[in-house]
Amino acid sequence: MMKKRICCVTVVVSLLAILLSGCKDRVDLENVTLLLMIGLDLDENNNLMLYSSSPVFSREAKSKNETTKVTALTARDARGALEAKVSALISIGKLQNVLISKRLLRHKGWIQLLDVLYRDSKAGSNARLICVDGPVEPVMFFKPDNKRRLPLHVAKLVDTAHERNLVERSTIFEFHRLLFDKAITPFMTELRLVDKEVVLTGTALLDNEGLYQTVINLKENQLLQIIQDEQLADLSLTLVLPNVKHEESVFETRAVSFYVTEVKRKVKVDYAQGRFIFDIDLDLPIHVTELLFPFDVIHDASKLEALINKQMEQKMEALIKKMQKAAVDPTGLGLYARAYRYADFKKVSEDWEASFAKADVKVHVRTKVRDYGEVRY
Amino acid sequence: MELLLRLFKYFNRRQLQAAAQKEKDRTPARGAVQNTLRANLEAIRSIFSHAPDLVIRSFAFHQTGSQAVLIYLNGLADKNSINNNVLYQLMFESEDIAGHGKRPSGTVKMPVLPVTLGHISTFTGFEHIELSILHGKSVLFIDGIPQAYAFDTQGWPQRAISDSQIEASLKGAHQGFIETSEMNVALIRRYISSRELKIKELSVGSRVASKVSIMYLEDVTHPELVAEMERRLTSLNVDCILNTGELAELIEDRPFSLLPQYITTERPDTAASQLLQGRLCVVVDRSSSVLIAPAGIAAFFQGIDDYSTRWPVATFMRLLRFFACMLAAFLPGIYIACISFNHEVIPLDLILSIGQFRAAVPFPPFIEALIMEITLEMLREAGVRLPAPVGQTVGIVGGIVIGQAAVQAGIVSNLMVVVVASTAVASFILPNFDMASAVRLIRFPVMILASLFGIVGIIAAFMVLIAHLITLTSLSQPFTVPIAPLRIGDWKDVFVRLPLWNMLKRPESVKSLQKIRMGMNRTGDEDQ
Repeated sequence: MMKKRICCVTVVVSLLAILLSGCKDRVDLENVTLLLMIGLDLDENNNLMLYSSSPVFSREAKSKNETTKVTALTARDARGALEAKVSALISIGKLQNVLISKRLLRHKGWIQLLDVLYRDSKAGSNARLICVDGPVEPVMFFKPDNKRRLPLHVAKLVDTAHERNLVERSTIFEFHRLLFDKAITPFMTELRLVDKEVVLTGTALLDNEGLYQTVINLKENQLLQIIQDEQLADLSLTLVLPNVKHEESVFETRAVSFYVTEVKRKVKVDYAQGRFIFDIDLDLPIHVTELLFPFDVIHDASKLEALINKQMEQKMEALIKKMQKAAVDPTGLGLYARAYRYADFKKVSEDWEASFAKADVKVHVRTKVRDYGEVRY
Repeated sequence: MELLLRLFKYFNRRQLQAAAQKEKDRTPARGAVQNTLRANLEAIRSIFSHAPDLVIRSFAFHQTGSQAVLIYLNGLADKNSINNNVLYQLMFESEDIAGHGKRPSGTVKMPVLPVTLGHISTFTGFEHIELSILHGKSVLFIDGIPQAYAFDTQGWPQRAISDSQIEASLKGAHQGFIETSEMNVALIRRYISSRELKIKELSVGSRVASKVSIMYLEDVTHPELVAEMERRLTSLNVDCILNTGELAELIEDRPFSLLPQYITTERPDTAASQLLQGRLCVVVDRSSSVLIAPAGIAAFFQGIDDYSTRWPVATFMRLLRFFACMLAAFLPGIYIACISFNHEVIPLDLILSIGQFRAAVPFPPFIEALIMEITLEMLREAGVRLPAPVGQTVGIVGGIVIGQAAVQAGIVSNLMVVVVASTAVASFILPNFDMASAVRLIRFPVMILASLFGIVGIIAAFMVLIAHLITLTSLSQPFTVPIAPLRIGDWKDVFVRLPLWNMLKRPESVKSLQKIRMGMNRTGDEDQ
């Protein structure tokens, strides 16, 4: 009887002891400083600067957001310095944006700064990587009074612009794939602070080592997304058709705007005389939304289509030339080369960008007017 | 945990056995009915000493002219029928109504009584006479006759048949069981007027015997179930059974489980529907609820209204109940886990607003949740105990004071109030009171585990719960039957309620003898 009672007590005590050890990693939400945005930059002496922006939960605090700047050896090393400054314990589980200055992106080995984000399983892997044209500091400390707190505003801005195909977006998760895939080069959204406004300027294109090469603007990005066959919402394009007669006016009268609702892409890959040949066939149903010159769309649709096709082909080829010149391939054509011409791809896989720069890329656009609105001319 | 339970069980059994031995000191009334009235009266007086409600009416038995005595307990017997059908007849009717042609054998000529009552029994032992009087029968002794007659003149105060409060239904019948088992049996018989409905009467309780009737359909219910129930009931050794809940607790498979292992219902239609599915029900005298066994988990989520509403609606309600059950058990735990450990899973915008609310609260989430949960349970209990008008006031005061003022005073956060309120609403959705109470209780260990281990703790709690559920039995039958021993065919009436014309068979999980529910299932049906 006594023995059994002792046994009972032992079991209960040991159960309690097991339970109590669980309390260690408990951190209540209000005791957490959620880093929503971090910024990485170099100062004049090439010291690594790390900025953090996080919400303040206290009712007594006047400002709802705190921004901090520290100098550190590595991103993780900054944590100690940050903990000494911010109001509570740091967590990167809800990280939204990682701002990186263009200057930093030009230095070899910057990729290693992200290592902590990949290694820590609790880090938010959906944080957007954003390249800042200019220093990061003014962006981090920027406090617009007609917007929500900046980290959320920037995140929303990038997401909506990406939805409209104006910029490419890469989260740190996708960036990892882009970086390690030899057949495609990484890219990230680029923004800058212009006249007290955060403006997205386009997409920064990086090479396979993550070094900054060039930038494409919002319009070029739309074309890039057509080539990538990754158009999200309806693409709205405005083209100036040089073959149409220009009226004597201060306004552009040769413009046509249309939606591209769907992209049908066919890519043919060939390899001849040491270079890849890509034939990209694009079937684009378009909906004319704006036509600034008189044109009989009902009867002469094919004429309009031909004009648009030619203009679009020109623009796309220019874009590809630009990318080839910078030796970057965000188009994903390398994936086709690898899929259909593996033997040839394998030889050049270590330096795909160089082969892409040499490649012959032909774009054929076939638009089809599906709709021209409620007016005839 | 299992080890602990075993140990508890062991001690309990020891104690019960010790108690059973003391029990034997109390001796029941002994002896046989004597020939003389005086001796009999003396015996009765010695059995019923200090019983002012015992009525002893002596009169001259008209038929033979000898002295007779009618004994009954005032209040338990129906005076009308005693006066009109017993006393009057015995005192004034002379005619031997059924006595012609037939002479009873023996040395003493037994008179045939001119009593106009349905049921008359004769006894010679005083233990039966004692019981008969205690059960409200009136007992007649006639001088010179060595036996007593017991007349069915029971008539104690009883409640009118009314709607069950605890299992109200909108479209079902508005009859609930009352506290008299004969009436309850009759109510069930009204639903199943079939000769296959069998009743096994037992008496349970050593001091005060309660009449307990096992009802089952002979050609449907598996005899093993009936035998098992009978075994459990007859092996009981208790003083007295006051209501079905007590009985259920004494005969359940796992006395330390939080979950109810029998369905208790106050609705004759529910009882009838379960009988038809092949279960058996136990009617306990003096209790207004009926015990149904074996219980499956699905039955706790089925309301009788499900079968009288259209099936898509009923299906929706079913799914809602299962969802609500999960919510009631786990929502506060999930809240605590998300706030204390795994804030990464909360959407960003929500996290920011929760953070603001939480920053004003001085307590950790677990204490915060505990304060609210306990307040809510107190409010609920207070509302049950108080009369309806005051109960409402408690609800309103509680709702406003706790809900609003506590948030403003910074004791709890806004979201906690939302969590607790939705948990409370969810727990009231379950149609079965016992199950709802169990789920309410499960919430607390889940909260503790969540506050210690976060989501891992919740998963652990969930796994323990599932493990417990699948090992649980009701009347030695698996408790989670259509789900855990998988019976896909029965799923027509578990998470969804498919059209009735689709349920051609009785549930497989009950092991009923007769599987077919629709169409010809009685022998001899073909002939008609």
